[in-house]
Amino acid sequence: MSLPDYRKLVIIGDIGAGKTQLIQTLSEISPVTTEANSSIDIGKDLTTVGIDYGRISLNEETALGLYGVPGQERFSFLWDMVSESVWGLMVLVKSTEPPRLDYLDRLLSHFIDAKEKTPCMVALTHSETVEHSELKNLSAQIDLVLHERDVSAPTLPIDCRSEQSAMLLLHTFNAMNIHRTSAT
Amino acid sequence: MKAIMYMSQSVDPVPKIWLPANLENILARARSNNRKHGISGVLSFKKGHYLQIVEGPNDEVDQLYANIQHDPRHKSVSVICTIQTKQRYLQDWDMKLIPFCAVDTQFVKFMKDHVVGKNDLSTAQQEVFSLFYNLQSTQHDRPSMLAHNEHEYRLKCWPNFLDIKPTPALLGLCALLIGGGWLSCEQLLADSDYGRDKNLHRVLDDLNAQKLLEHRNLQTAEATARRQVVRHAQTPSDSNDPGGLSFYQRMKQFLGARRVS
Repeated sequence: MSLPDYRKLVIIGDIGAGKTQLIQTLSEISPVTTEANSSIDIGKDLTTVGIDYGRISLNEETALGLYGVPGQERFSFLWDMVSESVWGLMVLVKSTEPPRLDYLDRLLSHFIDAKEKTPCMVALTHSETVEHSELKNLSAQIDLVLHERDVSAPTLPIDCRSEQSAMLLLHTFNAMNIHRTSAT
Repeated sequence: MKAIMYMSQSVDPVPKIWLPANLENILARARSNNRKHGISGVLSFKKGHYLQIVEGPNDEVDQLYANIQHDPRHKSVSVICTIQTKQRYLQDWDMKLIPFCAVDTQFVKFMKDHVVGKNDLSTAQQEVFSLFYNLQSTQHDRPSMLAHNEHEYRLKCWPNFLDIKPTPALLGLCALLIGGGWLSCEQLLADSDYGRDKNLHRVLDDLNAQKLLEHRNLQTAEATARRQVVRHAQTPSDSNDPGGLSFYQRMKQFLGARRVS
């Protein structure tokens, strides 16, 4: 992408966390998806095997690229492809499954540039059917990992199908970027 | 009924991973066991150290503490305080995980009642304890009233958005307060979506009541310098944008057109 002012929003999460749906909700173009039949039961037939791509154009020369990246470590070569000049890192965590804190820790260590203060958010997806106390436990565990990594990031429930929810994420990332004086 | 607060060290540091291996399983097992034995508690973890309070029937708490001392996942177990109590501090929590001790109301109350001012921790204990809680600060006191326009502010950590509705205005304000040092009401009004003093003051008061907000007297010269830094982010980072707007401003326009509410 050769636009003069082009930034990347990296959306990463485990199988079935909602990456493809979130990009569909945000993108102005039909997302380029790379899905295949899932080898495990994730409540749907297809899962992402490569990078999903979408875009939001802010004018002719300014755009935000949306990159949905599978969270499985065997795809970490894809993480390298998108980890430069990140405007925001969106980590999707499926609320209906036990958290994998070691895995979250590895993701943060890969993507977060402490010097650059890469803006980061953690979104709890599929939270509608999960009890509030369970969500609080999950959120506390995630906050503990973030704190250990000295990453300041909000954790909040979202609905990847909802435009309002998706726009809320963009709004927050934009506010977080106000402190970054260097171009991303 | 009794309560014990203790610290210990994790023995299983996994290379490049900062948390104890299988922390989620440790928590799940602790919750299940504590429920069976009528024990409530809190647990925090920082840089390889655990801090825990467990409370419940005397015999059950003694047995649990004896188990912890022999648990191969812990080393350097040391008691901060043991108290007899008639009522639980940590009602409703089999094992509550607290990422930020200083903003947890139950933890802070326990500290105020039984630890702060006792000064009987060894130097080594104080050093580890300071990872979790600053005994010298006034964070155990009630939050003082804000003199809104005479103070500047910053956030200790993000609010818990499972208890508070995450609106764009609140998220934007918190992003400002957490990322760039101290900010005055004047700066916050200019850069956040709270258009009126009254609305901003109400939100600051709410954050203060939750012990999330730090404040100090306004320091004008520093504030002016920081304001220039923030403004830099709102102007084009290079001269390629013919419209003269930064990415930040264009995104703000885009979101305004989509009417995020």
